[in-house]
Amino acid sequence: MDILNQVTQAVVAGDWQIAPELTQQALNVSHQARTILNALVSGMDVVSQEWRVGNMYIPDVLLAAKAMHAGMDVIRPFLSAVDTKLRGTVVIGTVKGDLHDIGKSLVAMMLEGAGFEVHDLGVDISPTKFVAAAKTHQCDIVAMSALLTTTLPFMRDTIRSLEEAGLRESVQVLVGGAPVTLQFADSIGADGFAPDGATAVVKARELMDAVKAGV
Amino acid sequence: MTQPALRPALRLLSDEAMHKIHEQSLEILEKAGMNVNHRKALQVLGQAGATLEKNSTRVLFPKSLVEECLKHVPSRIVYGARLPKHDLVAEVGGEFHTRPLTGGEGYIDLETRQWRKVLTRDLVEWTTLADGLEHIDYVASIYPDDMNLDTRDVHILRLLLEHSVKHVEVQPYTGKGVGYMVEMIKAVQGSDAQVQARPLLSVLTSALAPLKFLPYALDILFTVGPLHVPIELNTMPIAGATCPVTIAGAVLQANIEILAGICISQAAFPGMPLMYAPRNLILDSWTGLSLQGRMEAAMMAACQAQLAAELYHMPPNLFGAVADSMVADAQSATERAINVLLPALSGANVLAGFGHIEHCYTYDPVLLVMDNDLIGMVRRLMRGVEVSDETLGMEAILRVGSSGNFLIDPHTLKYYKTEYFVPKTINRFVRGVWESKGMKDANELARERVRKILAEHRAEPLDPRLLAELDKIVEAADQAAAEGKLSHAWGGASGPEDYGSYGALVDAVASGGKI
Repeated sequence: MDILNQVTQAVVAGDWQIAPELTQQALNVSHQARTILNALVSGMDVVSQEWRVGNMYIPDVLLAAKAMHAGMDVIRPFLSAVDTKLRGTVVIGTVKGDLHDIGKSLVAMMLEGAGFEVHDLGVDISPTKFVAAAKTHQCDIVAMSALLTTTLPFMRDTIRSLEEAGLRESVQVLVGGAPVTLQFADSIGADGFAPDGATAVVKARELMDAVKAGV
Repeated sequence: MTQPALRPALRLLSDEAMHKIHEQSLEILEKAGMNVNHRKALQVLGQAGATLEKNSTRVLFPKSLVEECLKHVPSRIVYGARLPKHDLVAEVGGEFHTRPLTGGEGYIDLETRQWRKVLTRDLVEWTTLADGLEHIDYVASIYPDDMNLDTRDVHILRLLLEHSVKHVEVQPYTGKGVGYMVEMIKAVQGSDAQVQARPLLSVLTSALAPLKFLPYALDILFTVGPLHVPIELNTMPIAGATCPVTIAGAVLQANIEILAGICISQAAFPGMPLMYAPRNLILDSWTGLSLQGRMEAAMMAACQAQLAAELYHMPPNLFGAVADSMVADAQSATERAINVLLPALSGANVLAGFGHIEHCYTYDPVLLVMDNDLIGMVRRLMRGVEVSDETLGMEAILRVGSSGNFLIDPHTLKYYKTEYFVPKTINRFVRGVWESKGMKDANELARERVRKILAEHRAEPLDPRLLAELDKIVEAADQAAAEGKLSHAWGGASGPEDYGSYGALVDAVASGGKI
């Protein structure tokens, strides 16, 4: 099998130990970093498709993402900053007062798997911390999660803080979590709402496409 | 010769398996401990012999501390009710009691069958219905979207007390209003002694998997503890996400989190009534959703009922009628039946979660009525099979012989009403008759019963003076909230950052000083 094909297959198989070795071999035989990156990403595309139709499961997707990122670490020195940003940069966290981690972490890992650069801030993230991270990472998307209805108001506060910091025009805001509804998301002026991890990935892609199209 | 009916029983765990779970729980509590994010709890645990760490909220629990605290947990809990005839006793080895789901936020409109966020009027409708159903033993809070979040728990309790004469359970979403809730039941019951003897209120509080307690959860415990208001001690680990993916591993981790809660409560308030009330979830490996209606969830609940009752001699309180289905359909019926039967057969003293779909998110009054029948059936099962000369009917068989029948035999007349449970919302016709009766399915029959109960049933009213007193307490809570004065009773905070360093606390506990 062609070495680029092997790279793709390593990602599909979620083999994060072999993926960097194969990536290195591909570099050694003078493939362009950009070409190898495409091989890694196309492995991820296969996995996403298989997962959508129910042939693969979330652990498979997360392992594949791990394999893709292990390969990317090898070629990163040879890529431009633009290339490594792939689909876009996301800052994600659970809002202030809420220490529920798992839903947010799952979304973060799935976004990573879909090719986003993800900065997971953790839980109990105040509006100030969201704003600071958005600045530091020059992110495209701020994604907020909440499980407790009582912490929903902090989503609104964070959006206000982004406005006050002059960042609202340059970042898209994506919200989710059990108590969040589309109606609520609209009422606080979020750009996107996702009821589950899979939709979060789709929404994040849509938001980026809209930005690129200048909508 | 009368043989008492054998209590129907299901045991998924061997004695060896139970002891292994217990031993490993103790080992993990001693080695990894729990993150206990609460000043007062840390103080109490430190003084009781737990190991605290400087600048950390991690607590290590020595085996001896856990064993000691387990000795104080009562095996019998009284749930008082506004009308004493509805008082309940949850006792290990005894019968099971039931309550509807708590914690959901969606509601299915009875007439349009459309989904919406819960409204205050839904809370009143739901509570009236639960109060009027003969197999729903106590009521539980549902969470209106049109209330001020700061004082929502307080408003909810006020409405539950008005619209039901049964015991009331609330799952507070913040520790801030719990003090007002305690004031309300003291007002209704007249004295602290009455509250302690037969508390009208029980509260649910929860660990956060993996291995954490949040400030608000322990604020609830420390606020109700002095009056021994019963606690449904909960944790909701998600198999494959926030706890091990296997049934055994999920049961183990939930057990650790419950044992830590037992230590905190019993070290602070020895003898405080607690129910062993985990609600395990299972991560769906395709969608990433946390599901509850699965057979494996029922198996976890069965294991937990067994652990609580047999090993810890504390009343198990479990799901219950859980369903992942989006509508009241065959899927939801299968899920609910499985999830009620397994823990019931394993010794649960409370079965919860009745009346919902969509993995604990949405209430449907039609389902609560259907569940009422399901409970009746399971209650019949738990009565078992009585075998005696009387029930065997040998005399009747001899009397009828091979030529007669049993239609109006004295034996039939004696037993036909008591031997069989008769559900109210199930079709038992031949096709022609069913067609002539309007071809209604079970959903429609249940809906008609909801309408009937809502039209006819009203909880016996509270004394207007009492109601006025409750309103004053609610107003006081609203006032405090408006002024930004609503606070956690024990210095609880929204997150760890507000606590600062625990170094000084550890020093103080080590030197036996006051905090």
